[in-house]
Amino acid sequence: MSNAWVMGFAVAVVLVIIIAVVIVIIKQIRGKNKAQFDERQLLARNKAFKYSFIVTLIYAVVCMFTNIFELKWAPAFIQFGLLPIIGATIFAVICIFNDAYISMNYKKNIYVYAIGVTAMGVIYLLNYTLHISKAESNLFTSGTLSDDSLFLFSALMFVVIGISLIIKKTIDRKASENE
Amino acid sequence: MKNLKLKSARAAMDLSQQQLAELVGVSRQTINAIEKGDYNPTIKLCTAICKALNKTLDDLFWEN
Repeated sequence: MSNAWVMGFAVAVVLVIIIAVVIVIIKQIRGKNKAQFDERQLLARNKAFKYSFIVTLIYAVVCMFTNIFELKWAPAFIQFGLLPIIGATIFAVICIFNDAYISMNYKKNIYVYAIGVTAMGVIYLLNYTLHISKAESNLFTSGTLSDDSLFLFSALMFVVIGISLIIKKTIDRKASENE
Repeated sequence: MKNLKLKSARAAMDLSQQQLAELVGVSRQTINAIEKGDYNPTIKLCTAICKALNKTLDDLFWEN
């Protein structure tokens, strides 16, 4: 993997984080569009955060031991990149199935959000297949995960979140019909 | 334990879970969880539900 690729990826990640933080701060200051969660949803989010934190901690410890014992299963870049992906996926899925992922004031846009997230996953998947076909490599190279596998895991994260949203919405719709 | 008192009080006022949820400012799933006994609401939410249904705390949340 070239240095330019790594630098480009790092700059993109930092830019996205900065833009997201600025948007969140502006929204908080204005008080408009502020996420509204009720008390049960806040509890569910706290629980989801706790579980995702524990899992990412376990993952970090496992990675540490695999590095100590020199069991090379993925480059350090991939190992580090998987940490937020695993944490975010677990947090999102637990929140979604406890109806605490999307705030009450954004509930009406749930299908738009689900389709958007799934589409993002599909874009990542296309990017992954493009990289694989160009590089003529596979998911694994020399017994370890290839550099491009991060695209695949990112795609999986978005697709899992999108599908979970659609499943939960379907369950909710059936529940309110049966009420 | 299921909160059948809440469910019957809501039904008596001809309100759906969604309508009651909007009245007290929570999600429909929260009302559903309270009725099913999966969630123990805070006193603040209990009083908000009681006000919305014109009932007392004893009427809806006191177990004999």
